[in-house]
Amino acid sequence: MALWRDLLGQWEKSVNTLANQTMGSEEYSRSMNGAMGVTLKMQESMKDVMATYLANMNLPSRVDFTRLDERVQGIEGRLDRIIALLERGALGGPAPATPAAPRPPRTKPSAPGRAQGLT
Amino acid sequence: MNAAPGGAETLTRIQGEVERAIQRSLKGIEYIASPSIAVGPTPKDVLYEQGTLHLYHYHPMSDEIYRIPILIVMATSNRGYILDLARGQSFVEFLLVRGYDVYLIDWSPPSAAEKTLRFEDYTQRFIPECVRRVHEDSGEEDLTIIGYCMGGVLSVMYAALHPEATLTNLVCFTTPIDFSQMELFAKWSDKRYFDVDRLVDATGNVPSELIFQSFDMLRPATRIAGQLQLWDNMWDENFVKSFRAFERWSTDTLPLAGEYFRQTIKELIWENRLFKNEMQVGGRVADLRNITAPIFHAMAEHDHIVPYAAAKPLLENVGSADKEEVVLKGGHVSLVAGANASKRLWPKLDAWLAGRSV
Repeated sequence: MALWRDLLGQWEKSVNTLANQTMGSEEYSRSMNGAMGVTLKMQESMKDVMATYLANMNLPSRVDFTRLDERVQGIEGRLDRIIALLERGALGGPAPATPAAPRPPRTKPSAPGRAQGLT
Repeated sequence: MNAAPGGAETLTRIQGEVERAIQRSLKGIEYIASPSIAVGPTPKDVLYEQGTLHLYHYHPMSDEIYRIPILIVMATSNRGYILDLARGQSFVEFLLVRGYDVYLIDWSPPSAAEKTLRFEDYTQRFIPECVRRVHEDSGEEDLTIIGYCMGGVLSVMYAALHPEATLTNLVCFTTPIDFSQMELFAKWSDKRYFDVDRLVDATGNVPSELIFQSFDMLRPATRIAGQLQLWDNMWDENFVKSFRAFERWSTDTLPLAGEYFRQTIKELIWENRLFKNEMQVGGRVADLRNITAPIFHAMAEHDHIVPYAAAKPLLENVGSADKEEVVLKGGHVSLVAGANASKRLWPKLDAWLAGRSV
């Protein structure tokens, strides 16, 4: 088993080195990005076809959902800002109902290596 | 007469191998049938959320804590639970036990509407808002920021863009600054062949599969070798547990906001603007010389994602007088979260930070 583990380690190292040499070449970059361009073109064509299809079926498209999502996020953002203002009492609202749990005092002196538990 | 010692030893080894083979088969079945492993066990509260951003505060684990709180900024491409994998294997837990007050910025997949997020949003809106909330929650004006990988880049940009902010200490883990030294990433995104505009315009947010593939392609044999190592160690419960947690995390990559990705490629990788002190963010220049806080930068000897040459210039270029660089054994992830991190990086950081946290 020890020999097998050594061989596995050597195989991993040599394959990674060889692959890195190949993938570091200009040809690789050109062909990889060329392939990605073709995929993107296909995706764009598919997207156009689907958009037309959904419009004809009177169904919302991904773009419509994205717009809705943007609006919901905008509302959430406004709510967050209002809540933050209320929490700070800026709008004359009530103080928070539950006081924060007590925290340990911030008085620990500098002395590394005095921890309990983890090493 | 004594039996030949070599023969007894061989017999014991054969028995051991047979025992392990049986255990491998039994545990292998358990492994396939068992559900996904739980991660992120340290108790925490959500302090603030804004779309892709989540700010957590971890419950203190010490009776007395250091005065200055810590805000960890996680990398935008991965989940923050790598820093809190399991009890006893958690950077966050280590800090809490050592008496630090810990906050963490984590990211979830940006929504389709968040494709417009830019460095401006991360460094001039998200981080400042979290800093403000940490100040408010802790009652302390001083703060230590710890940034991991691209979280480190965002932290460095924040510090460079806000010299007026009360940043007491800056800690970076494997943070790239000279992007021309990110060799494979630079070659794959060669501007002659890589049409980043087309990719972002077509996809909105850059899919997580693409991010995962980019990391995976850096070491294509490692995933296969990892599976074989798993089989070899299937009898070892601790190995399997740790392997599964890492495996879950490494495949759990996040999509990146489209505009943020576009900026990363054009301004960081193509133009190397951060390294040249020419990075314009929201009309301000992120000049590394503006950073004057004490700074600690930890890098890994065998980092295949952020090579030493890409990370090294950080300390050379900042304006801080108090600065320390450490290069430790390990890789990009094992440096901060591996089994040896608790013996190497974490105590080293504690030794550096404790005196600067009072």
